[in-house]
Parts: sequence; C-alpha cells; structure tokens
Amino acid sequence: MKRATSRATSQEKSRTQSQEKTQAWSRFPALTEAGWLGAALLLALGLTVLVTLPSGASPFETIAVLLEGGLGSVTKLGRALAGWVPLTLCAVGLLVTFTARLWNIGVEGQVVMGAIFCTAALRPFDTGGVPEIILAMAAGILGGALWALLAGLLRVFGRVHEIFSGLGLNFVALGVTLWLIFGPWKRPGVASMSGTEPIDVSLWLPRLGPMSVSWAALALALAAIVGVGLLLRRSSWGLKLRAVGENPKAATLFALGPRRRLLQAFMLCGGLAGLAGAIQVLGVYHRLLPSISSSYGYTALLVGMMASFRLGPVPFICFFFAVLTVGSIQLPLQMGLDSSLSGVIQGIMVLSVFIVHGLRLWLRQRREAA
Amino acid sequence: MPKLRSLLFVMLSVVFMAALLVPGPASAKDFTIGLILVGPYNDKGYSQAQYEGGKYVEAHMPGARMIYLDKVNPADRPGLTVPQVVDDLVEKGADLIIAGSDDMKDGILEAARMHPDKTFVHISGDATWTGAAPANLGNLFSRMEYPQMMAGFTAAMATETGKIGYLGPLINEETRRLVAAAYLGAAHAWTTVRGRDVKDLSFNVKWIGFWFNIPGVTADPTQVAGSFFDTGHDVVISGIDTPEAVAVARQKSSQGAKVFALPYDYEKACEGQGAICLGVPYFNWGPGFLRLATQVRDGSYKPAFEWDAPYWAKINDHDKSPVGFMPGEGMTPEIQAKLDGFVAQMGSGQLDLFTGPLNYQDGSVFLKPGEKATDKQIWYMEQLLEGMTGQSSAR
Amino acid sequence: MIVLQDIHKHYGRVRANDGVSLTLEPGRIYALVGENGAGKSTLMRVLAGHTRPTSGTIDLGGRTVAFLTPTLAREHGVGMLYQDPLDFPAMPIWENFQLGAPKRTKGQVFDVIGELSYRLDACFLPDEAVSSLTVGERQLLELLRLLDLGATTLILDEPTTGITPEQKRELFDLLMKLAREENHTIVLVTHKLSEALEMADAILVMRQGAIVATLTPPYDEGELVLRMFGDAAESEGADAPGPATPRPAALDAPPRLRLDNVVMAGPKYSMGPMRFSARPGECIGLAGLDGSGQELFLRGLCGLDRMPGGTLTLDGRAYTTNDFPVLRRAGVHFVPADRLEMALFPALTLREHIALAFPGRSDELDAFYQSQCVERFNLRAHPQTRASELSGGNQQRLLLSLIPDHAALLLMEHPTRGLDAGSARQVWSHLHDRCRAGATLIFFSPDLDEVLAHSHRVAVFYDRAMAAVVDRARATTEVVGALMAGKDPDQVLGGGQ
Repeated sequence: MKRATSRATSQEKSRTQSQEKTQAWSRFPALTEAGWLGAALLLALGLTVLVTLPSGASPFETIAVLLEGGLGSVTKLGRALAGWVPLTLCAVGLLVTFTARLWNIGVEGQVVMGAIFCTAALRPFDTGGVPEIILAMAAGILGGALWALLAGLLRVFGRVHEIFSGLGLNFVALGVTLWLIFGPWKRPGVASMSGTEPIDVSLWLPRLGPMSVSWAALALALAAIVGVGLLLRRSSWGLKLRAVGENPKAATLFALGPRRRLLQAFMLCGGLAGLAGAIQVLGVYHRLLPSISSSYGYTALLVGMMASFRLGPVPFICFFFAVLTVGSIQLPLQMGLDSSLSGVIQGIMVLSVFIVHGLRLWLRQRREAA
Repeated sequence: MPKLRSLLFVMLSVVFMAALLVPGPASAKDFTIGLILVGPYNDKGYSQAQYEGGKYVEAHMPGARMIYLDKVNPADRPGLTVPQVVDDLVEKGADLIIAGSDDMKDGILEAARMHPDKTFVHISGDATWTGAAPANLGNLFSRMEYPQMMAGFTAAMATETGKIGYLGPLINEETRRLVAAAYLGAAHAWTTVRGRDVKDLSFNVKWIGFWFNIPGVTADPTQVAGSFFDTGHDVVISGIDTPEAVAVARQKSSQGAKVFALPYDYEKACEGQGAICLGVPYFNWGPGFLRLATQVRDGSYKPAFEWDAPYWAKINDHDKSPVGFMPGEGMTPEIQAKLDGFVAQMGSGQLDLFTGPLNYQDGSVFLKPGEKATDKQIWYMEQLLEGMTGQSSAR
Repeated sequence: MIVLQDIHKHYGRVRANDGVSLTLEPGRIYALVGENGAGKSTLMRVLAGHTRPTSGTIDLGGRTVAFLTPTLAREHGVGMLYQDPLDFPAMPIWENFQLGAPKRTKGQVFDVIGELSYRLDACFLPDEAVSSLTVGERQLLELLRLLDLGATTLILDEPTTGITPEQKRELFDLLMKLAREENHTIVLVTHKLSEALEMADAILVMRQGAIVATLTPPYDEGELVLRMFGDAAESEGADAPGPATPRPAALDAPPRLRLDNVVMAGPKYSMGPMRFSARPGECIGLAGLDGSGQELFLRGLCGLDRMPGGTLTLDGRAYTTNDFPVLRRAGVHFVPADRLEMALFPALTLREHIALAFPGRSDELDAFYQSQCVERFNLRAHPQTRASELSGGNQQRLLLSLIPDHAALLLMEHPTRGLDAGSARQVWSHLHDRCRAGATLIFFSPDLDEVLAHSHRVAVFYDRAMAAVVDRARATTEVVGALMAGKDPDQVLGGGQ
C-alpha cells in the first residue's frame, strides 16, 4: 500500500519535471514557429516547382507575379485588404464557435444572410449617410446571427449536427438570394445575374484613399480580432465557452448553461459573418449578387484549420489568401497562364502547412512516447 | 537558404521591372484589346467563343494583341469587380475593352466613366439604348435568334411525336428571346413545311435556373432532359452552357429510343456525338471584334447599339458571319435541304418569322396581323409566345 | 475442453486479469459473476479472441496458443453473444443469418434456419426484417447463427438484460438443452446472482482480476455474496461506527431532504414512487448491483435525470421539478465517478477550474487557489497544470475543493474510485468533516465494505427499486448482500422494517 502511494507521487513528480523540460525547450516559441513556417514555405516552393514545370512557366516568376499582383501597388494592396476584411471577420467568428467545439460550416450562409438583411435594410432609402449605413450593418449582423441561431437551435434542441444543418442552410441562403434577385428584388426591366439595382454612392462605405478597401471595414475587422481575442482569452465568458467546448457534461455540472452558451457562440460567429456580408454589399459590390459571399465562409474554415484555431496566425493567413486571390489575376494577364494555376499554388501552400504541421505533431508524439 | 535568397531576388527584380515598365507608353503601332470573360477561356462555350474572337483579331490585324482575364465573376474571383479588372487591363495598355457578359453591365459603365479616353464595348448589354451609356461605350451583340430559329426548325423537322423540349437556363430577356425564336422556327417547319396543325406541336420549356448545374440550387439538367424524353419528347433543344442534353440523348438512344438533341454555344459540340446530334447554334465573334478593333484604331468607331445579322449567303463562314449553325451527324440530307431553303427565305427577306399576328402566352397581343417586330420589340419581349408551354418569368 | 492458464491482461497499471486459470468442460453451464470491473469482460474477450493477453496460455483441444484471434476462436467453436446483439436491423433475418457463413443459396439458408428453429423450438420467418424482432428474439437469432457457424462453446454476456421473464425462461431452457443434450459448453456472464444460482453447474467468482472462488452445488448464497464483495467479517468498519464517523443530527431535527412519492426517469428506465428522508449530518450509502437503480437515484436527486412525479423537499423548500441549476444553487452537489469524462475539463488548468467554480473570486484567484486547494486539500500541483495531467487522487481532491462549503447535500458516485488507500482515507476524512459541519452525504460505492463502513443508513436497491433502508446496526454484509441479491426484505429483516 505504501509502495503504491510512493509510486503515485513519483509519477506526479516526473510529470512536473517533464513539463518544466518542455517549457525550457520552447522558450522561444516565436522562433520555433517561424522555423516551422519557413519549412512549410520551402516545401511549398518545392512542390510549386514540380507543378509549374510542365506548364513551361518559371516557378519563381510565377510566384513573384502572384505576390507582386497582390502587393505591387497601393491599389493592389487595397484590393487585397478588401478581401482580407470579410475573410478575417469570418475566420475570427469561427474561432468562437470552434472554442465551443462547433463546426459552424454554415458560416457561408450566414455571410449571405447578412448581405440579404443589409440589402433589405437599405431598400427604403434612395440615398443616405452614416445612420443608414450603420443601420444596414446592424441588419447584416442581425441576419447572420439569426441564421446561425437557426443552426444552433437545430443542434441544441433538434440534435442535428451543425455540419449538416449548416450545409443545408447554406443552400437555402443561396436559394433565397437567387429568388430575391430574380423575383421580388429584380431590377427594373430585367432580372440578371448582375444582381439587384446598385445602391446609391452615398450609401457606399468610405474608401481609404486610393485603395478600394474602406477604412471603416478595416477598423471593424481589427476590432473583431482584438475583441474576440479579449473575449476568448481574458473574459470569464470565454473561459466558460472553452469549458463548454471541452466537456459539455462537466459544464452542466458546473451549471455553466452549456446550451445557452452554444447558442451565444453560434450567434456571435453568425453576427461577424453577417457583418462580412454587409461589408460585401456596402463596400465591395454595392448590391446583392448571387455569389455575394465569394466563398469567404468556406475559405475561412480552411484558414481556421491552418491556424489550428489559434487567433494569432489568423490575420496573417487571411492576408496571404487575399494577396494570392488578388495576385492570381495577373497570371493570365501578364504571363498568359491559366489562372487556375494560382488555385493550384494556393492549394500547395495549404497542403504544405498541413504536412509540416502533421510532421510536427508526429515528431512530438514520438518524443513523448520515447 | 540560397533558394530563399534567389526567390527574394526574383521578387525584387520583378517588382522593379514592373515599376519600370508600367509608366512606359505602349508603342504607337500596337493595338491592344482587353477582353473580360465571364467563364473560363476554354469552356467550350460562351467564353471560349469570345476568346477565339480575340485570337482572330490577333491573327488578322497586324500589331494587334489581346490580353484577357477570364472567370470574372464573384464566385470564381472573390472581391474582384469589373472596374478593377479594367484598371488592370488599362494598366497593361488596353485600347479597346470588351466586356463579355450581361452581368458586367454596371461595372463596365462605371469603368467607362473612369477611363473616358478608352473605348468600351459591352456584349449583350443595352446601355446605348437606355441612355445609360457614356460616350465611350457601345454595345455589340449577334442575332442569335436566327440560328435558334434554325435549331427549332431542325427539331420540328426531326420530331415524330411532335413534342419538343427546350432545356432553358435562367429566365431573362435574352433567353426569352432565344427560346421564342426557336419556337417560331419550329412552328414554321411544323405547319408550313410539314403541313401539320400547329395545335399538334408541343413546345415545352423548362428552366433549370442557371447557365449550368449547381447541385441543390438549380434543377438537375440531366434529370430535366431525361424527363423530357420520358414524357414523349423526342427532340430536346438545349439553351444551357453544358452538354447534359446530348449525353442523355445518347444514353436514351443506346437503349433503343429514337431521340435527338441540339446543344448550344460551341461550334464543335456535335462532333463525335453521333446521329443524335442535329446541329448547334454558336457565336462567332471574330469578324465583329475585328471590325470594332479596326474602327477604334482608325478613330472611326461611333459607340452605338450594334446587333449583327448573320451572313446569309454562308452562315458558317468564319470570316463573315457573327453567328452560325453547325449541322451534326443527325442532320439528314432531306432536312438539310429544307433548312437551306428556310435560310434562303430568311436571308432574302422573304420570310420574317417575327411578323404578326403573334400573341404572348397569356393571349395578349405581341404583334398585330402583318406587323413586323422592331429590334426593340424583339429585344424586350415580355413573355413567351402563345403556343409554348413553360414559365415566362421567374416566380 | 478449453483450458486457460495463468492469464494476465494489464492495461498500464491496471490489472484487468491477474493470473486467471480456468477449465471449461463440455456439457456444463458455468456462471461467471463479479462486480463491475472485476475482469469478467476482459476474460471473455480473451476467450473470444478480441483481446490479446499480456501473458498466459490458452489450450484448445490439445493445441496451446498464447492468444486467440476471432477467426481462430471461431474455428475452435467459441461463439460470443453480446449484450447488444451484433446484427443489422434493416436486413432480413436470412441475410443476417448468412453473415460470416460459407456461401449458400437463399433456399439453403432458409432450410438451415428452418431446421435449427425446429430443433430448438424457435420460430423465425426468414424474410422478415430483423428490426421487427424483440431483443429476446434477436438474441435467439444470434444464438442460432453461432450454432450454425459451429459454436460449441457459447459465451453469453448479460443475456437477460432487456428481455421479458418469459423470454428469459425460454432462453434458459434452450441453454439447458444445448448443454445436456448436445454437450455444448455454456458460459453465462452475469451479475444477477439468482440466475447464476438457478442455472450454473459451477459459479466462478471474479474479484479484482482473479477468480477468487469456484462454487459448486449446493450453493450457499451467503458464501457467494461474501466471495463477491469481500470478506466482511474481517472488516472492522462493518461492526461498529469508526471513531471518525460523524454523528447525525437528532431524529426530530428537521430533515435535510424528503422525497414524497417521487418518480425518477432515466434514459433507460424509471423508478418509483419513492419515499425517503435524510437528516443533516447523515451519511447514507447506496448498495446495489450494477443497474439496480442507485445511479438513477443520485442523478435524479441532483436534476440530471428527470423527476416526472412527486415532491422533493430540501431544507423545508418543496420542489416539484428538479431543475439542475436551481437545485445546485440550493446546495445540491453531484460528484460523478467518471471524473475526467463527466466532471472536469481535461484541457483547462486548475486555476481555470477554480475560476469556473467560484465566479465571485476572480479577483484573487491565486490566493484562493493556495488556500482552498493547496492548504485545505493538499493538492500539490501548479495552478497552471491541466486537469488531464493530474493523478486520480488529485483529480478527486480538485473536485472536492471545487464544492463550496455551504453545500448542503453531497451526492457522490464511488468517491474513492481509482484511489490508493491513502488518498481514499483522506477523501473520507474530508467527507466526514463536511458531514460533521452539517452536510448530508448520499453516496454509492460498488465496494460493499466501503458502503458499510461509512454509512449511518444503507439504502439497498434491487431491480430498479429501493428495496429497503437498513440502519447501521443491522447493516451487515450478509443482510445487505441478501437484499442486493433480491431476497424479500420482510424475510431478511424479520418484518421489522
């Protein structure tokens, strides 16, 4: 009996020791991270060379053209930032739901709903100003949040997994958009894929100098990053949400109101996605389009996975994606290359990050097992 | 490490070179066409036809160069707007900018106002008619009605059941116009050539909701085409971008059914499809683009609404006709002969199918007896015509 | 004949099987009994080839191997019937029957089913879907299938859960027939002692990974209970209250908890109506074989399972619904046995657990952690340690430290599960302190000695009902064991209760 006790104590001791060891080993986390990222980039480069060789294009030039196309001038940077804003809003929102271990794949439809609500709020106004814009944004947030709440209610009370309800609701949202554009909200004369009648210039989000991104949208995205960071890491709400995600049964025992908190997480994510949709309407397209969401929701899921659902890397990965998207149009323009090559390169980069990440986990497991 | 450094070097040098090159004026002799395509440049359909039109100009106009950007739509290129594309094209030296699709209409107007020194042409738009266009923007379209009439004619000649299905994309003025034209061609063949009662001809339109299949959003064209064949229709005319109708017809044919299909938009769509393929209406932008480019370079271009008629003498002449109808293997010599006669009648002006009396689907008058439709009446048709079944407008 | 020699199966430090030797002879029915975690399932899985033993040998008709695979086991005629039949409800009977069998036509399968059914007095329509059968019928079908595959040694894991008494009767008749007439070996894994007593030619009692006794008829029920739950005679705690045991409040004091006609409903079954009361400072132990209702009783009391009828009175306040957060605020705290699964957040740190449990203390968390966890509960771990990194003892210390001092009613499942003796003593001394301070403790433990040692009263559950409540003075291993085995309380307690 005594032996058993001492064994337990010594185990605990060794556990603390190993913990200290790990801490010492990762004293420079930023450096380690950068090293792994560098490894991922090198791998991506190698794979890109392999892929571009058959097309006859120089891989370095291809990548250079891509980057230059996204960063080469102030206007191009502006476009990249304009894509960065909605992507970041969605990705940051997804961190909230993921903290509660929810796979809110419905984020795509929540963007669409935000755009629909935003457009609806603007319909009574021919022209307007700041109050109307704020109203429209609030409506967008509301739309996204309600759409997410629907997925949440189905999950919490209907026991429908959010992946399935989310996919379904995405289709419904897209269907609603098409119906509105070709039905009640069709432009005078003819309904077309070009969307609803454009909103008046007075309702556009103000631009940032020569850039096509709005300073208001940028500010909102930055605020979302900081806000969600504080909420998840510093607030007791965030702690409770993490607890709910970690162990819903224990959360019930702690009386943390897991259901309510799951719904709140859904709504917060949906609200941010809805804001992204509103910004697409107010700042980018100035109308409701059939593909108003630009698949930012799905891309944001990818971003979240690449960032292992940590906040830190999210803005950077989003920016990287935005730059590649903007830069990709230079491939056919400058080099006569099929622009889908940029999609391939983008895919390679994502794959490289996952491969390196997997390698890292494997190494860690092996070390721990040893 | 050397890899990284060389990458950095290449990046820097490219940025530097770009900075050097951009402000340099394009050489005076050169002429650059900037083409904005809605779909992939190699889609074997609508966008490829425009891309090949640009290639045609490059081949036939000394000093001409085409730059293009394809897949310009919010789904394929998130956040990219038409004015941004135009900025890039202008930056690369484009003198004439051609926007290829109906859904670019707002963007191209905005861009044209921002670049008053460049010339813009919007294909399939109507801004010069509505007065929305600035002075440097014109419209160009080809009279696809006639190849559609030929498609309808061929279908009605081939059908045994007297039931023709039309696999429509989404409902707008363009598609309404084209499906009505196909119906007019079919009705003409059915009554005048085959001498049958128009009441015995069933012309059924089903809209899938978009230019191609989007699972869960549009109706599945494979199923729609299949249900056409299953309900006694033996010819299906396709108005969508993708070849489902032909594939289904082949499948039914291999099961022993005597069925036909007519695809759309790509000259070679019937090649290798066997006897089920009767023929395909297609665009041929080469001559139109070449005319525009020449006029713009000479300074003689006056922006207007141009709606190019076929070159009746030889409708598949690549150097002359803006549209064509390429017969497939299913076209028998007998039908071909009748079709040639039909084309000759239309070409001579002897026959104009847009002549009254014609009623809309709800019975209201479209054209009074003897009245010939104006271009605007045809362009802005409000409904499908009497005698056709199917929706006239989206719910 | 199957002979197991010195089978060991270790999972890390846990010895699920610790030197089991066993001989199974043809034509005999064995009952394998033992509490949850005694190692029955592991042993059976070894026999069916699903688990590879750490050491030991298995002798099958003269061939000696170190382990079995499912295929090898089947070849030697070992067939296992699981508690939940392994079938495909959407498929018809004959297709299910054909699974894993050699290739046959549909007609042949029909013939085989007909023949087996005739032989064993069963009745199956081969075209019917399995989903239309009752659990009992599905079991029987599975049994037929195993026999068809050539099984001569049949292992049945808790076969009587979820079937009617008649079906049980039929099943037992069939098993009897198989053993007596066809010379099959039957192993009945159960914790229902009555079944073992009724059926078995030999009862194998497992405890802590070993077979502690092999009983043969005539059975002495008291001995069986004694073997299963340990030698109570050697335990001091059962005879008299230990010096540390707190004294409950006087009998005439207002009760802490009163249940009037309370019905509780879990996901699988419901129970009640029940009457029950507990005083402040009282420790009440729940005894019962697995699944007898004590789990539902605890979960219903705290509001995790529903209370569709009756009134629950806590400190003079009556509740007709048992809402978990409301009861929790009123001082009801539930501590489940499965700590990491149910009660803790594995990836959160100790500090974060404290912050979650004591929202009011967020401004002085570290000081509070020091005083609450380290000083009071001797929880020697850094506040940034994750819960998953704690040992079982420290997990329990953490859980106890998270219960606020004013908790009036503590509901605990197996408070010392997985703890070494030292930690267990510490936990109990803390719980006694709480009771001395006026809290009421209702706890369940599969270790009967522990229940007897720490209870003022013992509530015995049998067959999803509270069978009797026994005072400490009369609560001996024999009495409680007999009640747990389903003996009539009037008989056992002499009609006094």
